[in-house]
Amino acid sequence: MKKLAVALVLVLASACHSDEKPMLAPDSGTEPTPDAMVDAPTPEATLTSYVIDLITNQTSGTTQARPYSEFATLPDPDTGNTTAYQSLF
Amino acid sequence: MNLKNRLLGSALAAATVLAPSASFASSHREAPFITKNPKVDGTDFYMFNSYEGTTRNGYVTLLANYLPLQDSYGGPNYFTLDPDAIYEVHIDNTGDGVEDITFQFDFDLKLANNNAGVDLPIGGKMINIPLPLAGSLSSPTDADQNMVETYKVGVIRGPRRASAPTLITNLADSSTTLHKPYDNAGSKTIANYGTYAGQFIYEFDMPGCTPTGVQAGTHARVFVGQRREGFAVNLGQIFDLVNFGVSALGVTPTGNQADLTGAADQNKNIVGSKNVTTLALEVPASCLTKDASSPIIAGWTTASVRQARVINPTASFGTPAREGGPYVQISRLGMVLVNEIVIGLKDKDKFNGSEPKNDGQFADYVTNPSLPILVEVVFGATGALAPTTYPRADLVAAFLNGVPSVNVLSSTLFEAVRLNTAVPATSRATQNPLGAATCFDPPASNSVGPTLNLARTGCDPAGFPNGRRPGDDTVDIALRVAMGFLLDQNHAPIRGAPLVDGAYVDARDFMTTFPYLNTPVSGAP
Repeated sequence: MKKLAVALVLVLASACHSDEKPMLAPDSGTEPTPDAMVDAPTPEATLTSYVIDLITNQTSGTTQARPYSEFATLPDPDTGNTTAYQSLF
Repeated sequence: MNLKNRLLGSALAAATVLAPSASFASSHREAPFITKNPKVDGTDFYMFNSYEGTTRNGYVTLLANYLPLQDSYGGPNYFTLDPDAIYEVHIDNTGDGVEDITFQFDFDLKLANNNAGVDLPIGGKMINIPLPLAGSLSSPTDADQNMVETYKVGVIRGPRRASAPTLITNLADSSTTLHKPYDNAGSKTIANYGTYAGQFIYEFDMPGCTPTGVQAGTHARVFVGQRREGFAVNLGQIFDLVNFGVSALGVTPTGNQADLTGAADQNKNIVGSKNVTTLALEVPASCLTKDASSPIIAGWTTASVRQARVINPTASFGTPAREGGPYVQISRLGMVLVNEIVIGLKDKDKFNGSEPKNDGQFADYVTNPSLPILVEVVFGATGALAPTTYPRADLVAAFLNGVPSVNVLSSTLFEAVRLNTAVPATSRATQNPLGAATCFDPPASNSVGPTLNLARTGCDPAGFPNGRRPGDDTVDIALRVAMGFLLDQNHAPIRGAPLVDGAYVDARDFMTTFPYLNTPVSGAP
């Protein structure tokens, strides 16, 4: 499950950046090597991050709907967090 | 099987598909998930050659109804459509089950004064009024309207999500923004609703098409607004375990019960006092067909919403929620009654999200329909036995392919309304509520099948299932075909019974002109 979530985050991240380069930490200065990418801590995808990405980055009239299997088992740690989606408003 | 026999078989099959069962609402709240989304609940889809008069010959009318069972008094926030959804009417003119032309309706809902609304001076302060209007209305841009609903219509050629729509333009003012009339709140709000709503019929020329076969100087038309429910059905008794009498079989109706073998009109149209919201188009047939030698088209309507919705905990009028992501289809309607009486309950939501090109997944529901058996369970003791032919290849032909020699578009099987645009329209005064179902002679045997006979008394080939008009009594047709009207006696024991639901519909009960469906029931005298 964690591997799936990590993969999803990477896919979404690549979709969000037109240069298709991995995201850089603000102070990193240089691009990480492939090994560094594997070892670096990666935030786990959640239903919250998935929904925010969907709305923020995939809203158009010509994109295809995302399959249920892609988000069916994502963890939802924000059920008690009323500000989880505040960035959308 | 010869062509005529195939035609009859197909017609029978089509009627059966439309007919039998314990639920006959066309598509009102037919699937569990759509009941949570009434604004995008498609209820009926009509497609027919316009019969308004000679000036509209060569045009096809498309009517897609949404938001079912509206009580006319349901204010103060009446029946606006979903501004975050898209509503679409699709035309396939090549027969592959993929839309070739899509009309996409995209609505917007705003308050007056740049979304601030109307304020009144109250005790020295400007206070926002609580109602969607501040006075009576008479025009599309009335200053007293506090909440304004507008829309744009785009035309997409090819798969619906492959390209952006080309917007149509109102020929009167060159605007792409069109207005939807306020619902019929009552005569004090809108003195003459017919006149008022008539101002919201817009003329346009279809992008990318130079029409032929229409009178010079005429144009396509569009209207979106509230209409009186045109579908006629005895809904309550049907959902009450088909609570009918059947006098011809010795089951005498009691109390106010309707008689399945009684008069066609028993004043049982319980939905006739409700309103719906109609998306209406009238487009030159030549702009819908593939070419002049291919007059048959298939049509259906869908509604789609954004895949993600997040409720705003500090809602405002403009941002009660944030919706985004790709569009996902959650409503689909082509042939009447299909998702009610053919598709199994566990697959109804799947059907609403499906595309015609993938209809093979629903084939078992057609070849082995369950609803005739349910009718038999209720009335079998009286002799009302279901047809016994399985698998129902005839239903497959009609349900997924059209009627041979009339409206078969291709050999590809998919569910949609099919219309032969070359069949001349029947005038309103001479339409038969039983449509093209009246054009078949009884079958000599099940192996021979019914025979198309255009000379048959009352034959109306321009009606259902060759397209569908407001005046086609699809429920009665369905009832009869479901119980085998077009099958032979050996395979359909009560095939000759003139079954009715007691809710009558007739073209003469509708308007003479576009959009044909009647002005909505008024919310107040």
